[in-house]
Amino acid sequence: MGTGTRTDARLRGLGLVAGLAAAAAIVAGGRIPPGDGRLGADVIVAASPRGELGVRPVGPVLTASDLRPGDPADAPSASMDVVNQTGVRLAVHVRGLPSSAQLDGLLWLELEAGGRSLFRGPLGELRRRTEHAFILDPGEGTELTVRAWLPPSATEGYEGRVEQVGLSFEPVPVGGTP
Amino acid sequence: MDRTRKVLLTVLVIGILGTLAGFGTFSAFSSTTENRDNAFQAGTVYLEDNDAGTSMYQVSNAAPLDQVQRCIRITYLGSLPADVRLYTASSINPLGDHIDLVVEKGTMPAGTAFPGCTGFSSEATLFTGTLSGFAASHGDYATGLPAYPGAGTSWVQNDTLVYRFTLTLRDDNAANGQGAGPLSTGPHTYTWEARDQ
Repeated sequence: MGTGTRTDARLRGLGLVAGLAAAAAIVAGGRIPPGDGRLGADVIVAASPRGELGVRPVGPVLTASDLRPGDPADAPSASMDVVNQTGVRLAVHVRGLPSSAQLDGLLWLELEAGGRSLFRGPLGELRRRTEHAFILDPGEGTELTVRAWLPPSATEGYEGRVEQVGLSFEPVPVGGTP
Repeated sequence: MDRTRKVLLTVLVIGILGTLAGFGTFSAFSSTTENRDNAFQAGTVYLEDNDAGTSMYQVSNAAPLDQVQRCIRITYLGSLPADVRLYTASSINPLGDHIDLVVEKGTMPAGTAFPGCTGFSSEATLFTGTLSGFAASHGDYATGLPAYPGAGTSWVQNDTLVYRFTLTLRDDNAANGQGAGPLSTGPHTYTWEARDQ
């Protein structure tokens, strides 16, 4: 009988330890991951058609939530189709119209048309139309890719910002003005 | 002045000064509330087309029953819901009596460049008659032809609609200028006008 009592006591001890371990595992598993106490930036890039240019999709093209400084290679990107609906050859420049100036010097954008870089720089510089343009023949379309990121040098000022950037296309007939 | 009067006068002066100081203290208390960042922004009414400044048609030396078919895409970029009407305020020369005109609204693939109509799908016929008849009956916004994208009853931002114009020269010798030279409609302009609803 004495042996049985010692065995029961051991089993009870093991059960207690196992229960505590299970409880600790559950608590650890359900713990909210530690944060750095900082919010990222939310960026929405939208595009609108023009009489001369068809754009698909219309409206928000790129939506990046909780954007934080990081490697441009990891930047979120999205694409849209731009089509020349006129009967003339067009050189299409692009301009960015941010909803505020908060991220002008912090947020970087890259635009590529048909695989060729059209713009790469801080958002504020896109307030002026791009120096480079992409060429579209009548009826021709191309894929425009937009990428947005906060470079590692953006240490502060972006936290909790929400920025909407409208892309405005500015077509110019090649060889003259409309 | 006896001592009692001096004391009373001192108390009176101190009382008056205290009262003034009290009023001054109370008058420094105040409270305000405010309502900030008020603004008023107007909406927009804005139309564009895809002609890039070129005309839909410039036909010369047309023979009886010669036909041209041209399409133009209208895009609404304003922020306010709007009506859009088509009219011409131009004067049409007598040849317009001998040109049949059909105007349709519909859709077309984005890749069809102005003034082509490849892939046009008609949704409705807006006008059938002569070019002169169109000018006579639709010369301004009030008499303009209303049309909406699809089954809609207003134009909203980023809406597009394609208008197809089909013009046919009638087989009518009255259109033959003979020795006086070729007859012409003269240059004419189609206008799409948007107004907020």
